[in-house]
Amino acid sequence: MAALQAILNGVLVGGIYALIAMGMALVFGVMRLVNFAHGAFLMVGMYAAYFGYTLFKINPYWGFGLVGAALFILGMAVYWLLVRRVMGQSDFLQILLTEGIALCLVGGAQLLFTGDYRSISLPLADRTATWGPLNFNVAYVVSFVIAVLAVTSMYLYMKYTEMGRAIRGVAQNRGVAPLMGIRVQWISGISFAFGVACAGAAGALLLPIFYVNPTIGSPYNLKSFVIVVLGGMGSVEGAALGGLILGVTEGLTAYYWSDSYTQVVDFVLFLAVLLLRPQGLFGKKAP
Amino acid sequence: MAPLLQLKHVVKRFGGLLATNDVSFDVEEGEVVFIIGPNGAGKTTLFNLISGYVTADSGEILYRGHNIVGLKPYQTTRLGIGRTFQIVKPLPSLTVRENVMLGSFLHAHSRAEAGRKADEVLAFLGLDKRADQLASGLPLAQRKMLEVARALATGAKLLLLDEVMAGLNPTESAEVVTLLRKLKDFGVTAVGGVEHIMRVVMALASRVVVMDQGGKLAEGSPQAVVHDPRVVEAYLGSKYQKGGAPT
Amino acid sequence: MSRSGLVSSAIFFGLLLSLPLWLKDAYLQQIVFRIVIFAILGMAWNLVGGYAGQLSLGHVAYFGIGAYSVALFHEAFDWNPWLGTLAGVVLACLAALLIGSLTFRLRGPYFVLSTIAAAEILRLLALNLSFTHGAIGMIAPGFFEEPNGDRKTYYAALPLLGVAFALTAWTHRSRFGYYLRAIRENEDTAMAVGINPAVEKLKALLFSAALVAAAGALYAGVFQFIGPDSVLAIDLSVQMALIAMLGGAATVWGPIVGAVVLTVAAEGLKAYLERAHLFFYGLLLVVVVLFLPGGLVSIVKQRWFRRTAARAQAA
Repeated sequence: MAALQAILNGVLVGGIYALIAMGMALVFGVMRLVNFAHGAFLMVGMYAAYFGYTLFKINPYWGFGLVGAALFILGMAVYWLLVRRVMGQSDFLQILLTEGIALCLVGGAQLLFTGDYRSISLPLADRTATWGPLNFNVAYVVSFVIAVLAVTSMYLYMKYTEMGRAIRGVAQNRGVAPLMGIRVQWISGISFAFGVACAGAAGALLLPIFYVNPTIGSPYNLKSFVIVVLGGMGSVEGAALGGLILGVTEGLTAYYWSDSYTQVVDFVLFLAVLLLRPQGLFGKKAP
Repeated sequence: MAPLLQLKHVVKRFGGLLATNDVSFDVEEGEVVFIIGPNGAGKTTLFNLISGYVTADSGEILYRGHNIVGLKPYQTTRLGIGRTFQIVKPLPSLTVRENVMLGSFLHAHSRAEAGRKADEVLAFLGLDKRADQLASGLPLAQRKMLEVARALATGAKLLLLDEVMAGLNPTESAEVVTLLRKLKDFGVTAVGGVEHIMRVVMALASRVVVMDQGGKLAEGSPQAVVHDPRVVEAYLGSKYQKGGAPT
Repeated sequence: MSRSGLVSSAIFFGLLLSLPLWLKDAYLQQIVFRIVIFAILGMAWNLVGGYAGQLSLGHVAYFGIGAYSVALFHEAFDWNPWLGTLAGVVLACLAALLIGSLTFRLRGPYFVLSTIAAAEILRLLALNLSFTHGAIGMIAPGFFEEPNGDRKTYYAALPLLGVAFALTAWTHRSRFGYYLRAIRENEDTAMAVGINPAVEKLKALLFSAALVAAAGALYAGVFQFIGPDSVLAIDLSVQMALIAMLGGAATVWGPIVGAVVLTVAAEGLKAYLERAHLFFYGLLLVVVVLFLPGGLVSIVKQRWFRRTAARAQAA
């Protein structure tokens, strides 16, 4: 039964992972860019939510949308000022650039907020609900629900709106898209901004559950990589499923082995998929 | 004497696409053979198969009597098969001489020897004046020459030239023709790939292989092939049927 | 090597060798030592990242192997640190063979991520396994007895710098170096001239790993206290890349210039902003990538090439 609890927790956390990874999958799908600063943006979102709560009493669950919007704007700015200039250049330079951006964000946070761990305590977070033999941390559940709603809306947006179709068009065939009247640079910028917004908004959802500190983002960076690779690079649906799979795998690892080994499992899983099934569980193209 | 290169019933599929459909032909040492076919006919795939970038699903490719199917590109190069690419890729940060040295390093025992061999090849191709220029500064025609130089410098005895004329104006093409003539004297057997029969091909080629949708359509001397009704129908169109000269 | 190159090298190493005689300030000596270590690391990374163009962000793995070998073999078998260093270099080379053969199969971001993964796995193992004492870290023996232990260790570092320098200078002019550069530009083209990319990349990685491991062992011997966060953190991998890129990737002097500039700037910055160096590294990285991808050395090279090309045109 305790194993079932571990699986349940894994699913709850996995929903949030899905939101985080979806952002990265979107950016990779559209721009063929792996954003090494993804986790750092999550951290920024977390701090934004933190100060939103401590200074303006905005509950992160309500402020979720605000944080997402703020990070969207930040993402656009970063794209326009920096990322745009390396599109079309080597992977090498692109990766180093996003790594540099990550360092600036993390370093900036260290400078401004110091390395102290901070947290908020929502009354919601202390409550647990029970359902049969299973316990739910209410905060986890709320975060999960909001994450699932966000992921679903993104999915629907991609599928049914004109912008969404344009984005998918660029993702499928970057060369042909301009012929169809799609302004590729503009779409790239929007996708990047969306990706960053996903990360930041997920950060807001994590705030009631975890501590925030400048380095909090990097494990999520890794998890996103694993999920996106698991789901098939660029596949947004794959990222959603991959998030759940990783969440459950981590939960089971923590239960049967130890909490500290979850990161090792993340990496081993990552390498295993890359080497044995590079197109991921659901992906179409091999790297 | 056995032919230098022999293709026997070579087949290659990419997923559902039959890129190479039971192709067989020989190339004798010292010949100049042209493979003709529009884009998509399978010329590049054939070159990839011979040089090892792609492995045949079935059939044999014999170089000097040995089956080279399954060898990697660097292995075929070491055996003496050189190759140029349709989209030329010199190393832009190196000079012209250094680019060619990349090829001559294969058999040279020292940097000095590699440099000498490179200079030899550059002189042969008329690029020696530009030896110290950065490769990135060369115009297209010279960059194509550079590719050939690099391949020659590896000591290639069989040179696969994929679309070597593409993008060149008539003057530049004439230079290439002169080069191809000289290759024979240099002991190199050339197999070129071009999109359609040109005057050059008629003049230079000892033999021509016409491809269509992955399969060999016809083979023979340029004169014979040009009059082959199947070829005429597939490629040459009205100009030829009316008896006009090829361009 | 060209004559000017030989002269510069002679002056450079002469300065370094004579340093303890004319630079008496202990603080400054420490900074020079750090520059030396960073230069070694930068040059080592440069072989794989600069010449071969493989963006490895997991090089810290070899640093950690070197450092932990000194500590572990001393603790377990009472080995002196010299033997520990040798063991570290051997282990690092074995690790390089394993990691290289797995990661080099991947391209682009997948390759980079896999190198990060390899190093992070090592860090997590060091953090969680009992014999490495986890987060508490380990104590490593010093290389020399006091007095003047630090100065002697400095003199031990210089030959390593010399080896790294000689190796880089040789690579730059040799077939190996040209082959690496060809691989960097285009692996298909490289294969067309007879290069086996897998073998050459592994060779570069082996040299690289050995140097980095030796530097890690030196670090352990000097600071005598190591832990997963000091010798296996990804920050150091990024720093190695930054040093080489800042100075000039695929050049002989680039990493040295990068090491000097970075260390001096970071020290200077510390006087004003205590916690700013991570941000500073990030900023430098962004600036270098966007505006100076050839590094500081490229500014000099550009002028030289413009002059040579002008001469060629005139001829």
